[in-house]
Amino acid sequence: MNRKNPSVLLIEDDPVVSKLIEFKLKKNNFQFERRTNGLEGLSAVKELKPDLVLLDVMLPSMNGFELLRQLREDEGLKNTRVIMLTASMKIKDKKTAFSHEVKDYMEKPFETDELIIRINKALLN
Amino acid sequence: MEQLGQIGYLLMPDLNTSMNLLLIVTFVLLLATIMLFLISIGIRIHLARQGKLAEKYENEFLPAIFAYMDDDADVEGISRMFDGIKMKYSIFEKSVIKLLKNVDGEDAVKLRKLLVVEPVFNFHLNQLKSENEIERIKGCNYFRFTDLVNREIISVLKRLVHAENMYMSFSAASAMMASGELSDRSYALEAYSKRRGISKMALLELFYRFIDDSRNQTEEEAIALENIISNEDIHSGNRALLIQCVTETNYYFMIGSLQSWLESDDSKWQDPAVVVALIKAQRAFLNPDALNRLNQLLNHEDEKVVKAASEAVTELDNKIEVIDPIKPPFQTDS
Repeated sequence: MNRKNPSVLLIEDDPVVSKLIEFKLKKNNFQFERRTNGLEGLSAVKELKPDLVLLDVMLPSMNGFELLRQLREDEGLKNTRVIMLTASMKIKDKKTAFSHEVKDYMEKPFETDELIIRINKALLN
Repeated sequence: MEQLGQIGYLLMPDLNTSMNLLLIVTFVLLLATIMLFLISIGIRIHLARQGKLAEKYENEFLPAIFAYMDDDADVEGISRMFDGIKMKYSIFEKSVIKLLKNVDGEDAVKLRKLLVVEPVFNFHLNQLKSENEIERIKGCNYFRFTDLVNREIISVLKRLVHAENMYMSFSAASAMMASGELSDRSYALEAYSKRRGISKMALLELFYRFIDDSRNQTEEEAIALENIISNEDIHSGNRALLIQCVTETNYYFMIGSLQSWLESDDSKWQDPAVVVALIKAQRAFLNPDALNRLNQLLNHEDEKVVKAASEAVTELDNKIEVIDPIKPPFQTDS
């Protein structure tokens, strides 16, 4: 892991939210990449091997949970740090996420400073 | 044969006329198709241009908004970005609202402040004064959602509450609920309640916004509501809706008035819809003092009134039975 500029891959289809997160992450010296759907997101994780993935649940082509399941089944990627960032407040979704060993689960609406704190915390482990 | 020839002769001129007519119709249709095609291309080009412009403005605003959220820019910088271009206001607001749906806490507080920067505020104030009805509605909605009013805006909204357009009237009334003056809020609620064909949902929004602080109901507000509900000019259906709103907003300060209206012989409280609403209020507020009147209403001629009274009596009786067993521990036999 690049400790000075850790890389974060955001898999999120909302352009405005993505731009906000990009602004915030770059300002905090993170390397930033974004994909807008599940399939492209999975390919990007394989290709870029980011230090952390920020993952939405409702995504085109493959939802966040399916992407997460595939990550955990892949020997080379199963230890990828993932933080879920989703509008879903269902406890069932939270359970599913933590059963796939996500580092954290953030609900939208969220506070950008808190997101950075949680990302930094997840990267420490 | 001769007859057939005559028929053929008779048909020939008609055939020529029909052919000519067919050609004319085909030509007109072709022309209309070309026109529609050109119009649709024109619309597509216009929409594409608008889309590109919207994207351009959004790309200008977003970095400025993010910088402001991160304390790297001030409101004045953003205020200077509008250049009086109408589209910029809507793109800016859409961006802020989109962000507001996704962020929380301090970020949301800052974003809300952006919705009321001076150029945006003035733009919507001008919308309120516009000749165009749609623009005026947009203006009302802005003040309805931002809860920002001053005396100038209130004076415009007071006129718009009486507008013929029902939605404008509602939106103006809702915007007026942001006023700290009880008289403004009462004016808006009363004016809207006097209209025909209003919906309960709309009235309920006004009601919730009318109440300044739901945790601190006040005598003044209760008196104002009593005056509105008992106003002679209010249609019975709307009076029933208003009473339902009192119940649903749990405005218990009005329990005394609700009971006295139920017991009143005045004609304005005799409409079955009004009586049912008053009965349901007694039931919701668990008012045991209304039991006598409720029992009398079990013999009412309207079956809806009887049903509501029966349900209220049953519920009140049950609650009183539940409360009764608690009493003995406080009684001593000694």
